[in-house]
Amino acid sequence: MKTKQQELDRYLDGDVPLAELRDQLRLEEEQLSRWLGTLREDIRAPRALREGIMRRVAETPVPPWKRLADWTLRPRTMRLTPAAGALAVAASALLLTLWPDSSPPAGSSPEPSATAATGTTPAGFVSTRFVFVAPEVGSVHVTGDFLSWDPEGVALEDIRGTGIWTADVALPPGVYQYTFIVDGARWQPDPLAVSQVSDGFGQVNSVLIVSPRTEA
Amino acid sequence: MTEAPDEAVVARVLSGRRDDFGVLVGRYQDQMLAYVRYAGFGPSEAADIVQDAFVRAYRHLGRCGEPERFAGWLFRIVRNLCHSARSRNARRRTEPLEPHGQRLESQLPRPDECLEAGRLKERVREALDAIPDDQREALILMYLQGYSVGEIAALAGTSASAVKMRLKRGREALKSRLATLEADWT
Repeated sequence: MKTKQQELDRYLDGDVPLAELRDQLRLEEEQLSRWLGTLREDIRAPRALREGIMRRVAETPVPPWKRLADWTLRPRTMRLTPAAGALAVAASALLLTLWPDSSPPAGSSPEPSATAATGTTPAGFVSTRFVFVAPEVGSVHVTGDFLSWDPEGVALEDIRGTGIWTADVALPPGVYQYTFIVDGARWQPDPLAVSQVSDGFGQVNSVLIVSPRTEA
Repeated sequence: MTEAPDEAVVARVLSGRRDDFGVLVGRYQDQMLAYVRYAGFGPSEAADIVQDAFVRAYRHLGRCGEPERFAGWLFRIVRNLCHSARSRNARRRTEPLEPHGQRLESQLPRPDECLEAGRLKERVREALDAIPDDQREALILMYLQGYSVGEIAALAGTSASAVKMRLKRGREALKSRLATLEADWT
């Protein structure tokens, strides 16, 4: 005997027709369709809409450099072997060790990658800013091993509505793996992280190295 | 004659054939406009939102990560613009209950029928506006635009299970808000 939820699942999947639903579910479904049906209209775009769009498109030339910049900034999934990933992490760690005063100046413009920045944080923690550039998306979250890969993660905010999403997270120094969750579903590595590593399940995680904060 | 798939059209536009963007406009303007209208915007504002979405899509076409899923990418731009406009309007409702245009006198319903239908529509509109955006979106796409769960997932850029959860919660939310309308909803 299927539960109501299971039956509803199968109906939503298209596996069970409306007529075969148990009475209560069928009545609810018919009622919902009737209510929402009051809003239904025959909606077709007027000719002027397309003309207006194409007129604005014609007035919006996109120069080749913009196309190139977009292509460069377009997030992509990069696949690395564990050996290459480990090598990249080691090289990055070495670079940071040799260049300890690498914290960005206050007020610097955000970059589309996770970077460490100074801030008021608990002792031993470093305020780390995550930045993700995506003008067309509705939400961006970050999650990683520092959050036990919590699928909710930490929400980034597009404060100015410019498509630059940021969040500050206090982390103890160390090496972390993380990824962004775009629109609540799409897991996407940071395109400009110091390195990317395979998670062993066919996906790629970004690598973040948080160095101890150096006092001026 | 087989239509060129979206990714081929996107590639042509990116190569400089700007007019080919009109193919994508023709392909998706109706469904995007319908979504925006069902989301509660009046004809003029809905047209502006759709127009802005297409122009924005054109300007950023090089950043469409998966051109074969252009429709979903465009839909998410439309959805975000709806969200911005909704915030801007602070849930202002200006759309008249009756669609634009004149009808013949003989086709008009009786005043009491019109009042009843108008009230029902108004209540449903209010209830739909009051539920979370993702639930409203799923209900509109399924019950008003006829998309399947899989198609909604592709458009919204989420999983089928997430869509089903939104639909279930949306159903429950509408049910509680409209329960007083008819007694046979149990």
